[in-house]
Amino acid sequence: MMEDKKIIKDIIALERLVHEPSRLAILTILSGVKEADFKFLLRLSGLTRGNLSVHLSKLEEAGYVNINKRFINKMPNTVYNLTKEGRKAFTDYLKNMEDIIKRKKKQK
Amino acid sequence: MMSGENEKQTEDVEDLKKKVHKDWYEDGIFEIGFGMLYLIVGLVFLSPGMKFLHGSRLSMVFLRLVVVLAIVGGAFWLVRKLKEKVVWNRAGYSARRDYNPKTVLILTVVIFLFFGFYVLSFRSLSSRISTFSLGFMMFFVFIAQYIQAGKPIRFLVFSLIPLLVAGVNYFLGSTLDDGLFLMIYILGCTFLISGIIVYTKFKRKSTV
Repeated sequence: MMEDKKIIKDIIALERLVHEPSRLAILTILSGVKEADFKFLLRLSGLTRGNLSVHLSKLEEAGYVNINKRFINKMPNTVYNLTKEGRKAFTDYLKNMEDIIKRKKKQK
Repeated sequence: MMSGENEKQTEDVEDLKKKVHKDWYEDGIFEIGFGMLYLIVGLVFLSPGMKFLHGSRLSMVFLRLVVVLAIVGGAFWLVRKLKEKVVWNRAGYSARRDYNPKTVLILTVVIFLFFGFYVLSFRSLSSRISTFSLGFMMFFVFIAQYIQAGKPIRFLVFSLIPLLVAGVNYFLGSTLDDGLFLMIYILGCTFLISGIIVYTKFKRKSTV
């Protein structure tokens, strides 16, 4: 019972910014690449343009994602990459999540 | 209940990580680039028709290593250029995390020095055994590539080619040079054909 309460407390303590499924998907994709553009993120995340744009802005505001504008074949292209803080927040989140799952399985 | 959801979310993260990793190979450009590399290396440096270019054993091995290094660097450049021209406008741009020119160069130097040393030391062995050993070595290199690429079946087929060629070479009793030429040439053709098929499918699937 005590352990149950502690697990619930830990779940609540998970970073909400990362825990949101759409943002978690974006962070997962960006963690696997050095950098990626909007089209790539759109294709792999399966989000709509509007949703992706909103979540990317939130991640940028939090300092987790870096945005660079440049030209590829004379076409404007916006490239996104994880910042150090973003990578740390993502790995910490996964570590905490795995820890919670392990403890829950042990309890069963 | 909540933990079940969390578990599902962790599984989804793992699946998405694999998908991102696999995505690099899903346009066939990697195979086209490296297929061309194998064919160039095979035809220019190992082809029996080019024997007139051969000098002393040591200088030849050195020359081969230098040129192969330049071509491997060229293949990475070619893959990037091809992706820029025909993939990024369709599927979006992404740069691999491990695509660091310094790492690629160091890795290439180590691999080819190892290969060079290996091939040199083989000269003292029977050509049948040396081709077979080389086939085994290449088999493991391709198995590593198969795992790294997210286990697509076609990469498993590539890994079986060096073993098959080495087996045939063993029974025919051909020289190491001939065995190596055959191995590289067949690999190059298979890579190129597979790459073109994968790219055609990719092109049909994704629009500009």
